[in-house]
Amino acid sequence: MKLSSAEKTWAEAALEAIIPPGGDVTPLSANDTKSIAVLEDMVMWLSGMNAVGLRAAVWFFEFGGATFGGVGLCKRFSRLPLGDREAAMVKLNHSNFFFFRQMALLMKTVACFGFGADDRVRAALGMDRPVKFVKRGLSS
Amino acid sequence: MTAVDERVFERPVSGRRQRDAADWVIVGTGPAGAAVAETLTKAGHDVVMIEEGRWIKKDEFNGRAFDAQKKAYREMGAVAAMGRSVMPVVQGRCVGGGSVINAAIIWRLPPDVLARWRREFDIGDAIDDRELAAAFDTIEHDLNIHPTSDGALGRNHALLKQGADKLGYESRIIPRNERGCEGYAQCLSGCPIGAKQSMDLTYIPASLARGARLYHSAEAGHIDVEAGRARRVHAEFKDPLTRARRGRLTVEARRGVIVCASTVQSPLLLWRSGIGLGSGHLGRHFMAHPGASIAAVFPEEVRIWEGATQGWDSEHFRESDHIKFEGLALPPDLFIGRLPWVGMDLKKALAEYDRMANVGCAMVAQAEGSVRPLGGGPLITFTPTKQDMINLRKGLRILADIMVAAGAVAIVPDIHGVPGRLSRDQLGLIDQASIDPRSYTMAMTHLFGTCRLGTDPQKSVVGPDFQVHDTRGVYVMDSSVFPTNLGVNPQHSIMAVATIAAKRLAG
Repeated sequence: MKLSSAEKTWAEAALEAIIPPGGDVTPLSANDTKSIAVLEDMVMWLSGMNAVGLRAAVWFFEFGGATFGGVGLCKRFSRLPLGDREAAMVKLNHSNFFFFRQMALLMKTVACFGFGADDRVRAALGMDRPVKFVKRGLSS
Repeated sequence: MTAVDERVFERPVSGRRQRDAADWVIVGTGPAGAAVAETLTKAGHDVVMIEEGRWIKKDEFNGRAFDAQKKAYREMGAVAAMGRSVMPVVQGRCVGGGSVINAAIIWRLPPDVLARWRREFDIGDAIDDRELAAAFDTIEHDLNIHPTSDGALGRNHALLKQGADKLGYESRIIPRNERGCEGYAQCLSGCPIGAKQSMDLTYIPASLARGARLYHSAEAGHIDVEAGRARRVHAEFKDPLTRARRGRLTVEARRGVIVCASTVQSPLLLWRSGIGLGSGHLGRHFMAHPGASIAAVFPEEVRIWEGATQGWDSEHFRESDHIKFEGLALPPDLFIGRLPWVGMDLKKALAEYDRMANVGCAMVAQAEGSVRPLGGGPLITFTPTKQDMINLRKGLRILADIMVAAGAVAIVPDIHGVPGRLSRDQLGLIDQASIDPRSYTMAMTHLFGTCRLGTDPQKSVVGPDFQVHDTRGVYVMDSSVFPTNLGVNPQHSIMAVATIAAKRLAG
């Protein structure tokens, strides 16, 4: 199963609302650090229901704004300005509905897999000791 | 190609079907399967190992959490237990199993837990004290087990010790199976420098060198039983990630099949094979150590990305409140996502990132769940009891106190309904938090109980000889046979019990 280009755009809008550009530590956003690649991999390689569930989450963000952001968010999520998307994501993250909080947590986990793995982010956070990788396992 | 390489297969040697035969067929190569292979091959037995995951070779762990989850975790870490909450269930799926992605923590089976098994679960003579002690000694020697070195401890864990000392709580350094750990806090993403003495670097190559064969990327599907005795195992070669099929594998078991596929997968394999169903206990009594963590902000640098992932713990409240504390040093791709904010609030929190510590509270949960087949996979159900949640909330409060005693200026608890950041005089808000499991971000590790051990065939799945009550020649030797959870990290106990069980087969 692959994300369509439209679904990628929708997902990137949500990921950017989790980790937006700007800030004192690093200006990089989830989209600058290719968090979308994590989501694409998961949708591609997770088994049946898990992949379907992830894909459904992307649709939830794009079309479910009115359910978690109120009537003012009845527009499609990816068409909202970043500030509005971020505000909606904050609301979702603190929602009293467990399902909504899980949606925010899911997207945050995906965003951070990409963001926290980026060398530029790691350097900005102060990680100044590169890992010395060595060979392991069988010779082949 | 070395002689060992020649005994490792990820597809049929030719065509679409591979056949083999051995004295013993071991399903699963985690700590249990590897210990069984080590014991049986040392005694001169002919062994075949079947592993669903693949052998992760040189340079493949690159310090990136998601990349490791893709290669070495079941469902990339997306397996979840369903119940009142949804809880990730962390399981390895690779040659070496959980030993590749755990924090290399080695604790012996607590004597009070073994005493309870004998007292309440009638395990007969399954686990003899002297045999157990001998097995622990051997494993500790073989895996170079020693206390976390000063150089690999890291400040995150030093703060846990400091705070616990100040409050008078017992705490201790963690012994680990590693050789040359440099403290990159990457244990959960596969050791990038090969220091962790996981099974893929120790017992499995040693068993291969003694003549064992390993079929990896091969999913065991069915155990054939004829005249009440296990005869062979059927498996399918599949790419673990893409699930592309590469052919079939059939291994004749001259003496028996030893299932070490994990607390989730072992009962499923038995279920598919129609084995062990007689007692009605297969897949029941699923137990675990669910847990949650808190972060703490200090006035000085902590550098959470340095040090062993886990190097210090406290069992002070294990017997009284069924909780345990551990330092948990993580890389940013795992730690940032655990902070309770999103958007610019999350980015602002990064300004304090180098001054943050992280400590976890694991529950010795009293709740029991179940594992059942659903479609091609498992349906895991689990809901912590009310008392479990009261214990967890208490544990998180104590951890907050410990961190404050160590000098923390703020606590970041990640509990729904509690502010994301608490000052030192706001810690009482944790005591008032809901005990609804949905209010906590929890994960579940250390799984037990679905093929319970016992002498009574009506109350257990395997007998004291680790053989399934209703089928000769099928043995289960992983943590699914443990009647309860342990309260400590289980790798050492799993390996020791598997060693004892295998030694009896070896004669």
